Amino acid sequence: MERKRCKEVVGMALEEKIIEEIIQKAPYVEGNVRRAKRIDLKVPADRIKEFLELIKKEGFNMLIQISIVDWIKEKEFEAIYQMWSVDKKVHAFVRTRIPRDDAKLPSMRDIFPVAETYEREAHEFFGIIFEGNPRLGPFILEPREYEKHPFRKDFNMLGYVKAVYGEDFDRYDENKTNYVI
Amino acid sequence: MMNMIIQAVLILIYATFMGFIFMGIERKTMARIQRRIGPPLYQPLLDTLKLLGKRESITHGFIYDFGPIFALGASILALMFLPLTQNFQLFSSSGDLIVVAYLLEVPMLGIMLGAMSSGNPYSGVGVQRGLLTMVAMQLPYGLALIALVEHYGTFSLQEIVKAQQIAGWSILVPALLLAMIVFDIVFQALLGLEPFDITTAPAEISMGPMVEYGGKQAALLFTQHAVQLFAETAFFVILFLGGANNLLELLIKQIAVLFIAIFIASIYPRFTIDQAAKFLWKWPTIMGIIAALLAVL
Amino acid sequence: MENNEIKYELKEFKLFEPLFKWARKKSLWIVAFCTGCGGIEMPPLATARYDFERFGIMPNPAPRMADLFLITGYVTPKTLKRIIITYEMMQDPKYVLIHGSCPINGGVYWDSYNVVKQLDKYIPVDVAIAGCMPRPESVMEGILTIIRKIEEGTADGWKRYKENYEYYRKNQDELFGEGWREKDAKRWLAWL
Repeated sequence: MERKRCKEVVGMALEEKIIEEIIQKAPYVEGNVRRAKRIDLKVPADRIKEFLELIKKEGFNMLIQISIVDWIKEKEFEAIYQMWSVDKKVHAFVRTRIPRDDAKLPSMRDIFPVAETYEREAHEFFGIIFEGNPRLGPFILEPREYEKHPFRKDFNMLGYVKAVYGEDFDRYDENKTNYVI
Repeated sequence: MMNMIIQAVLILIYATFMGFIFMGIERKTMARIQRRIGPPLYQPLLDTLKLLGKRESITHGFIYDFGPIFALGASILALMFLPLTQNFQLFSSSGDLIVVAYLLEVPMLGIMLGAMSSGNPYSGVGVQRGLLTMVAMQLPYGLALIALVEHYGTFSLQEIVKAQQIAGWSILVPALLLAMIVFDIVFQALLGLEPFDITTAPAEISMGPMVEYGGKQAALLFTQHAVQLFAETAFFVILFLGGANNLLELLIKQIAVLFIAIFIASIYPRFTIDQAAKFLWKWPTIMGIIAALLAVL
Repeated sequence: MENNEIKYELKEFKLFEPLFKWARKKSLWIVAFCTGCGGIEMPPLATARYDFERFGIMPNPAPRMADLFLITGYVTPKTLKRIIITYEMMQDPKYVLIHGSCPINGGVYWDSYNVVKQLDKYIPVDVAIAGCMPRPESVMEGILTIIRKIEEGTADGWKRYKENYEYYRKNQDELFGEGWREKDAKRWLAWL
């Protein structure tokens, strides 16, 4: 027990040191420590690309995931880039907010080549255009669903399902198939 | 003449039936080694009957249909040249060792012919690998047969059987024991068992050359495999284990040879094609050369 | 059955029909196609505990030589295109066995935009096994039901597909758009 608490206290010092170094180099950032090994950084939308280049030099050289949150009441998308530093063993979550209509972000493909797949998925499901990514297009879903952007919160899921698959999907017909339990 | 035709038909029916039982023994033994209960022994007969009963029939042209018939014909002809018991050989000539040894290779060419004309890329890959296996296997195969021929001084199978009845089985001679080991390694490749299974690699290239065959042509391919299994095990018994006096003794010796092949096949994984070629041209070739030199001296 | 209904059956084999029925029910070969979340329930059937090889069933990777198709789990439109192509590559007579509640009426994914709700509209189904995933004992019961239906002669999914081909084709084309075979299937399998 004591050893774990000691480690948490010491661990927090490492994360706070990292945040201080980053804020010195990029004063437009706000950061806080969520818990051991997790730090949160908020960045305005127009400086996201230079910030990611900066953070790559700081030691966070692995991009794990790009995920999008749809804040429909505030009419914004929030893009979260999850970074991992292999030497220091700390996750960093980099967040930006972009307006919901006509959403655009620069593509991170030249810094992190793996971002191409995540940006294709985010484009297909949410409708965000990533400038500089040449492979945006139908990816996981069928071409019929391509401009519908299903993960947005104002997508009428039940209406779409009824239109494509028929009206009677919540009733089963016992004459049609033979059951075995 | 009439006698010969009746004997040929009877041998063919017996060989096909026993070939199916051997395929059943192969599946049952592999299942028992893996601690399961396998299918019944007559299962390949049911598989062939089911394939014959398919209602639809798909064909890709004349060569596609002709390939399995070519293969089956070569296997049946190889069967007719073997001296199954001591006094009984249907066709005989003075060079029938070479005739049988190379008639047992022709069915692979027939299947390749049919498979290439079906246009499936998996068939093409399987055919390439099968032909390369055949080429790789020829060198140790030839050396083992050369050792045998040097020792007995004759190419005729009937005389080899007679010499073994007088002097004891072939494997009591050291040179021929080495030749038997080399032939046993090549035997796995002839039968299409692991570790030289690369032609028909199920789950890797979806059954290789046989991927487009279904229905009645697949039933022909199964029958050809059964006849070939019988002919090859009988060939092994005649060359190295002393022939047989009656059919029962032949059966016992064939099953012993088959068990050795199945036990080796159930332990080893598959070689890739370049590993198989490198292996077959290294140690079996060296042992074959030593065997041939020992037989000459 | 009257003679003018059976156009696709060869009449001269009717003499051997009981023999073929016996052979068919004792050696079913499965197409090794594991869709969805039930693909993990097939290896327990094949290994030592619930061994299905003693019934003669063998997994076979080539669809031309197989006659039982196990659709184990949910089916998305992308997978459904490939299932239809594989089903049409198999030779008659062929049987379809579906596992789980997702192909029956949508299951857990009843309101999802990407899961096909009733598989029976696109592919004829012989036996359905309920459960979310059914255990191997239930799957064995389903296989024995198919064997019983082959004996009685009521396993006629392939006949239904041939007779009601326009109905199935209309549903498939509504889902995928007209001409999907020419565009998509020829791109994957150039020899069809």
